[in-house]
Amino acid sequence: MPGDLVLEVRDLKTSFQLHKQDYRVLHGVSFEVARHETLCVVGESGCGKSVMTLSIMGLLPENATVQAQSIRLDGQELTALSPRQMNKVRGRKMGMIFQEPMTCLNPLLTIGRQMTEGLKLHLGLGKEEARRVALETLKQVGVSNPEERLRQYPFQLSGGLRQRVMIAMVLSLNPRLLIADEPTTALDVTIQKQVLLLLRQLKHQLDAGVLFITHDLGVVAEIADRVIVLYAGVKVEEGGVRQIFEQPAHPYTIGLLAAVPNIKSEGYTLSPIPGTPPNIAQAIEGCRFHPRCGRATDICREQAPALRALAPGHSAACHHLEVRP
Amino acid sequence: MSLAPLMTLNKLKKRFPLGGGRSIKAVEDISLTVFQGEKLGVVGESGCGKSTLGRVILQLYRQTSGACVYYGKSLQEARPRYFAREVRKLPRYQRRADKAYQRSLQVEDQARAARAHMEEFSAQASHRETRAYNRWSRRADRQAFRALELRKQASRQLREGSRTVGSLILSKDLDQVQQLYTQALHQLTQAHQARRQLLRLGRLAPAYLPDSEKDMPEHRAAAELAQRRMNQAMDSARAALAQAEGMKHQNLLMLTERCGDPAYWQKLDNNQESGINLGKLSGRELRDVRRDLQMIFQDPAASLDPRQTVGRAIEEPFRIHTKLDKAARKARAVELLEIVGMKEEHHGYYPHQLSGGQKQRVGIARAIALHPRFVVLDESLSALDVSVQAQVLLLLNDLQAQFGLTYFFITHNLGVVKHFCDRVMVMYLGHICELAPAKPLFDRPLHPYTRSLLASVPVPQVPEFETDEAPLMGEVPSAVSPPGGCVFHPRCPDMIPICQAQRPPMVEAAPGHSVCCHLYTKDSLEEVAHEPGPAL
Amino acid sequence: MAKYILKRLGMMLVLLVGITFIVFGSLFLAAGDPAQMIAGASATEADVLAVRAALGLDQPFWTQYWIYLKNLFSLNLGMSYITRQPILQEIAVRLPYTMNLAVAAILLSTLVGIPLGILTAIKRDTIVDNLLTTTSLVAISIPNFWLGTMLMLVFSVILGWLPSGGMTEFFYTPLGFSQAILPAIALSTATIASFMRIGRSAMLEVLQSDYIRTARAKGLRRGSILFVHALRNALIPLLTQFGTSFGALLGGAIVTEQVFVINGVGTYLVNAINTRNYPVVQSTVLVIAALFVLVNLVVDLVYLLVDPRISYQ
Repeated sequence: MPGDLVLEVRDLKTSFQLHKQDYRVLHGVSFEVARHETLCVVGESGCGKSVMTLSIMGLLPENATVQAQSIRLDGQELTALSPRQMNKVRGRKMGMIFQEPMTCLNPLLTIGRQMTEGLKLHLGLGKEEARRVALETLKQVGVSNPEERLRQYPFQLSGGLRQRVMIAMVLSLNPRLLIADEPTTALDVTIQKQVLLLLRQLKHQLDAGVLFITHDLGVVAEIADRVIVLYAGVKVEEGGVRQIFEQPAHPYTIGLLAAVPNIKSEGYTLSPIPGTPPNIAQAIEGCRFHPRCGRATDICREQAPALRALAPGHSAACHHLEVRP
Repeated sequence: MSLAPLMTLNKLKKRFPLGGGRSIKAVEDISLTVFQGEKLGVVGESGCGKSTLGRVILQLYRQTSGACVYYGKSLQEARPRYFAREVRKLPRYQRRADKAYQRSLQVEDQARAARAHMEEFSAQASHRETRAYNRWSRRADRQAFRALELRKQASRQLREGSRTVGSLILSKDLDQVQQLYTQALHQLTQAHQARRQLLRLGRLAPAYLPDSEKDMPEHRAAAELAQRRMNQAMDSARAALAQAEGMKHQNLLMLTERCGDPAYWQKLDNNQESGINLGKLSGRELRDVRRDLQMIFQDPAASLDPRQTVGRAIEEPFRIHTKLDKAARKARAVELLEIVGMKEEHHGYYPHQLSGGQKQRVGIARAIALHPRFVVLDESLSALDVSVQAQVLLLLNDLQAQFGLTYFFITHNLGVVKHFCDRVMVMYLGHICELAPAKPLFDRPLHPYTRSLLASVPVPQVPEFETDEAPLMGEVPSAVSPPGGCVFHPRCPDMIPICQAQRPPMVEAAPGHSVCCHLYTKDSLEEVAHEPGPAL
Repeated sequence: MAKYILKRLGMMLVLLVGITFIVFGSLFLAAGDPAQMIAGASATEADVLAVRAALGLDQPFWTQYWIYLKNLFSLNLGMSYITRQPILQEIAVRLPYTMNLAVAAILLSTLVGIPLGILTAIKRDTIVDNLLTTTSLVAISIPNFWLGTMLMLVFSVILGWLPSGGMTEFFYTPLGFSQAILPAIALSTATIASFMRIGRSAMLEVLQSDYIRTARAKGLRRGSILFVHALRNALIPLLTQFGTSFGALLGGAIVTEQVFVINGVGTYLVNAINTRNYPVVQSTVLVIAALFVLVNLVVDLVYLLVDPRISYQ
């Protein structure tokens, strides 16, 4: 895995200015994505997972400040790039798929136009050549009669199809990193399954890593190789997908797994995590999870825990990690 | 869970016209009984009509056809105006039924005459004669068909009438029946007025209110008088209805050939509605019944007015439906906030100061404010985070136990349904696919759609091996022109030829487990018993 | 598509007939006896009756209206009471001046207002934005006759750069331009401001939409995001505004023509009202209304070009 890293993020801190006040959303998050790997970022609303992807893409609004020790994409340091240079990387080397397929495509332009503009811009392809590539990628993501689709407008396609078009649009440029921000949340379960399977197949075919954002642990189990759990802007646990689901260490991860009503389990009891996720305006001393944590003691209220390694590739940030046999 | 029905849907249909004779067929022929105190889960993908169904039940949309009968309130309590109208129409139903039947007899005679003509032709007929023969034959068929239609019309009229008086619609003394009903209705009006007065005096407040609220000494005399008036009126109304009841199955008018058949009487008696047909209520009557029927919406933020404090939002139903004064309203609102696990201080908050879960709690508080009996939850938890979702589910469970609520729980989240609902209904393109108690449905789903749906749900467990085939290919077809036969057949992995041609009937494949699929109709039912569907 | 156009045309016809009814009906009810006016002050009772009969004014309302409609379809707008000339001819002479003014003004509004709208949207919350948004508020509230007079005072009387009134040529000739520029500015100031404000809010909304984020994620250049993706979407609300603004411009032209002494339809209408020349008032109002309806029809058809969703409904 080392040496084959597609994305390396060190100490990412993002904050927003609102009414002349600074609100920090990400409190120093580090992670990396390797080639042919899917890294899932899970967390509840407001944990900063979307802000994280937008920080990497450089798509945040102007009132946001991104600070990071380093964001390396395929060996290239992104933090040092000018906006113009960033435009060359964005779309070309990293592509992004969003949550709402209904609104993510321009309603007034044909699918063909929207698919080919990136190809023309980044690869300098001619009209015909770009069209051919677009057709091929549409076929690759399982879109039926692609010729016709290229002529159609977004409103003529269903949600599942639009999401496939979005995926094709990103893949046609053969990026090194694919960022997917809740790409299946707005889809029905049967369509979601189709799209997830597609993404899993593509992962093997592509020369890229996938950064997959979701709040749905079921989706994580299905698609992830590695998982990081984000809570209130802090990475609380990181591990392989089996480690996270079978030996979760952080109380938040454990609580989250227990709260999901699982259709395959019997005798499930509703066990919520008390309280609500904090909003960004709330300042929390010590461990950011302690107000909702059953294990919290004085040290949790005073001192933020550091990440501790539990097993190779598995670490968690908690003062009260149970020693694993 | 008692098995008393609370709401019955009878062939409920909702279409949204698009113009040009096309329409979105959102809900098609849904028949269903919701029992008191049950948590009925309604699942399906977007566009399956589950949300529309919820709204039609609450009469937020009026149904295109079919009926929605509510049993939570007796006809006496609600005293809907349509009932009086129906009573007035009784003789008309009888007359029309008679007319249609007589006409059908005549037409039948004509058909017979046409047949007789046909027999006059010889076997070796000329070309011209053959043409004439065909003409007569066509006429005979047409007449026979018409006679059948008229027969149906007659029984339809009788059925309409029986909704009000059961088999009494066959009585020779329908005038007298009508009179008795009118009399009863008059008494009910009196009772209703007395009841309203009692309500105004705070005597009939919801059961969960403290007794001190109900007992206001200064009104005691008035209340007692109203109570007496109500009891008297109810007694005489009951007496009149009982007298009418006594006339059942006697002195029958032979309207059609089935009139002497006790089985038919039974059928007509069963038709008699003891509940309230929500679709026939006037706007004002509906508003009265709405206290019992509440809805909790998906987006907790959008269903609250951003410029209204939480307290005001919760007090709103009291302002509309009761005459409580300001202090009493506030006390009630604070009480409700505590019931849904919030604090008194939240009374003065604005929605933007609350988290998503808290907003949804406010929505719940507002919905239960008037002590409803039937609550439609339309994706009420979908906007919430999982950790908070479970909190709200626990709250809903508590409330149900405390107030005996009945939930119509619309969602796409099958995990929640499995662990929260007693019974589950699976919908696809406006139709019911499967209806069963939660456990058998998840353990042994019968309908191919249910099976694929369950197989598609992502499970928070790392799968042992990776599958490459999605359980269900393609997408939901348009509800404007749904496929013929079984609506699911184009995507069905187990399709058999009959699925394209015929809509499957609803069959009870196991006790309480109904499925709408050709694989389980009579002929194939035995095989299924030996060959259980794949366990999930 | 053809069905949509036909439907629009049909609706336009119904609308026009409705307008004729209102115009005709309201003047039928208006005070004053046209027959008396035509016959003159010294006419006898019998003369007036004769005139009335000759003009068909003694017929019942529906008959008169029917005759009026029939005449309209043969493009006969009637005679002016004063000049005894066919009204159609008189309008045909004056309409080009009014149209000249209106087209110049709408061009000015579009060419200045929309770019300003885009500019303020991009430069949101900067000094440029604040300055322009405030100015636009002032511009909307200035009455155009006052602005016209002031412009005339400054540029014609004091500076002597431009003629103070009159219009003899179309605005694309040098002389026509110098004649049209002041009235066009006076007329279009409010429209420029409203185009700018609507353009700004439409653009801001579009710039925050998901598909603009997608476009940015694709690494498109700022220019192509703005002009390929954003502008087209922002044009839709502007188009609606274009249609309604044209009506406002025609109304404003009536006043502006007075200020700048332009012998257009507006002046014609005002004179007709002053002299109770009912057929002229009727016809002028009808022509202006028809123009307005026509422009809105064109706007509806342009929607078809801009928004593919319409033709598929």
